[in-house]
Amino acid sequence: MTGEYTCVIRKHELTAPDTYTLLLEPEQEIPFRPGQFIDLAVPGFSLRRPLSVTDCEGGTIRLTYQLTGPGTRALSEYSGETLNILAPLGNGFLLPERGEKLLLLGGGIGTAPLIFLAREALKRGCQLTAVFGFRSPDRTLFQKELAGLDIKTFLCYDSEGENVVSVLKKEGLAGIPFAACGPIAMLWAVDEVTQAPGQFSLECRMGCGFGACMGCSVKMRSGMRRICKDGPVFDRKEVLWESFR
Amino acid sequence: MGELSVTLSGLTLDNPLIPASGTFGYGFDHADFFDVNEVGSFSIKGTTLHPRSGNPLPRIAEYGGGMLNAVGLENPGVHAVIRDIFPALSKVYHKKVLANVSGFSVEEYAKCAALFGREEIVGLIELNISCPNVHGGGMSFGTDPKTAASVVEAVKKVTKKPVYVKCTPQCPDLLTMCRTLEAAGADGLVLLNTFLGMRLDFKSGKPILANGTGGVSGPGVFPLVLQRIYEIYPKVNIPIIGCGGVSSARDVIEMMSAGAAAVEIGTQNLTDPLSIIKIKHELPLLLRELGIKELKNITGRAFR
Repeated sequence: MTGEYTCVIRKHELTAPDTYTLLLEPEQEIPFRPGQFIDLAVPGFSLRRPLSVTDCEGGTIRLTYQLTGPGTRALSEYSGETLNILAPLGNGFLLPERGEKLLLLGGGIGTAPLIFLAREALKRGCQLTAVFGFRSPDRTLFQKELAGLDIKTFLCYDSEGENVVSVLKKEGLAGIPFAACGPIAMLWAVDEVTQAPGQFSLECRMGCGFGACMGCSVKMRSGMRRICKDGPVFDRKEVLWESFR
Repeated sequence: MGELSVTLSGLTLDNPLIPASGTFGYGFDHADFFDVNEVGSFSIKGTTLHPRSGNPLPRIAEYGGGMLNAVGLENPGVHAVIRDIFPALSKVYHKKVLANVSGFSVEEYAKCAALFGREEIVGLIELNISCPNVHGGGMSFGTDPKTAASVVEAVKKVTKKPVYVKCTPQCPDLLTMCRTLEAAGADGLVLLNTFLGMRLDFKSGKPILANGTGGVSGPGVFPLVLQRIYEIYPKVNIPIIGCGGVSSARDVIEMMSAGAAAVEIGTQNLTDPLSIIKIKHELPLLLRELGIKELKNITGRAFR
C-alpha cells in the first residue's frame, strides 16, 4: 500500500565520488517492483527528493544517490537515525518473460534502478547484457556486484572516448530488447540507434512525486503524462524527446 | 454537526480543511494514501473551457519557505471533467467540491461556471482570477477591480451556486479589489493565490522554471497571507477562505482567528500527503486547550 513510512537508517556511506549508498529499514516491509521510487523528506528542505530503488532485499531498501545540489548534500551530512519516505511510487519496469533476453543500458547514477531490474530478471532466468557508462573509471558503480551476477557486462567511460551508445553499436546489441536509464541525451541517442522494443526510466524535478501537482507532467505521444505517476518508466514508443529539450 | 464544522454560504463542511486547487488533482492521487472523504471539501485542479497542456518542464522549484510552481493550468477542459472525471470521482468521494474555474475572457469564465453550476458534486464555484503562470488570462483579471467585477457579474448570472473569488497578492490594492468583488455579488473570497517569484540556477545563472517565473507558496508565505486576511476581514461582509502556507493545526487556528471561515491547504498536501488527516486529528485537542467548543467560533477572534 502506498503510504508514508518512517525508516531506520542501517547504513549511509560514500561509495564512489559524490555518490552515496543508503540502506533504509521501514517500519514494515514495502513491496517494490524494479523501477519504482521513493520520495524522501530531507530534514530542512521543503520538497521531498525522489530516489530510485537500487534493490530491496529482506525488507531493506537500498538507495544510491548522487550529490546534485544542496538537498542531496544535506542528506549526505544528515546525522539522524530515521528518515521519512513515501513509497512505493511510480509504475516500474515491465519485467521480461522467463528466459527472454534483456539489455540494460545505464548512464551514471541512472544505473541504480537497473540493478534491481537485473536481479528480478535473473530470477526469471533471463539472459542479461549490461552496458554501463560513467564519466571516468573512478566513478564506476556496481562493478563488483555485476561481476557476481550472471550478466555479460560492458563498462565504458567518457574519459576513454567511449559511451553507452558507441558500445551498443560496436558490439551489435541494437536489436536486443532494452531497459535504459541515464541522462536524457544518452536516452535520446539510444532511441535513435536501437531497433528493439525498449523502456526508458525518466527523471525530472518533481513537486509531490505521487501525481497530484502536475509538476512533472510532460507531453508524450499519447498526451500529457506525469513522470512520477504515469512513469517514471515509459515505453520507447511513448516518449517525445523534444519535450525534454 | 461536529465541533469542527463550518458553513460557507449555506454549504456545511464537517471540517474546515480544503485542499487547495492544483495540490489535490481531482482527488484520485491522495486516495492512494487515505480516504479522501476525510477532507471538508477540496478545490479541483484549475479548469478552463478548453483543454490546456500547461507549461514545459521544469515546472517546480524550491526555496527555504516552500516551493514555486509554474504548471500553467494544465487541465483536460470542463467538458472532460464533467463527462469523465466527476462520475469516477463520485464513486470514491461523496462530498462536494469547489469547482476552480479559470479563463482568458469573461465569456469563458461564464461558460465554464455555467457548466459546473449544473453539477450535483459542485458545492461552490471558485473563480481563479489569480493564476500567475499563464499569459493573457488568469492573474490579469485579478489585478484590475473593474475587470474582476465583470467576471463575477457574468458568472452570477449563469449559476445559482455560491461564487467565491480567489484573489492574487499581486493586486496593488487588495482591499478595493475585495470590496469591489463583494459589491459585484461575490458570495465569498479566497485569500490568496500564490505570490509571483522566481529562482535562478546556481550553475547557469538562468531561471530554473521554464516559464521564468512561478507562484511562490508554502509556510514562507503564511505571515504574508495572514496579514491580508487580518486587513480585509473587518472590511467585508462575505466569508473568507484563507489560503497560504498553512501546514499545521495551529496555523489553521491562527488563520481562522484572523478572519478565515475555512482554510485551504496547498503545498503541505504535496510534501506530506497525509497532512490534512494529521491536522484534523489535532484540531479538537487544540480547541480543548483553548476552551473553545466549536471551531467556527474562532473565526475573527482577533477582533473580539
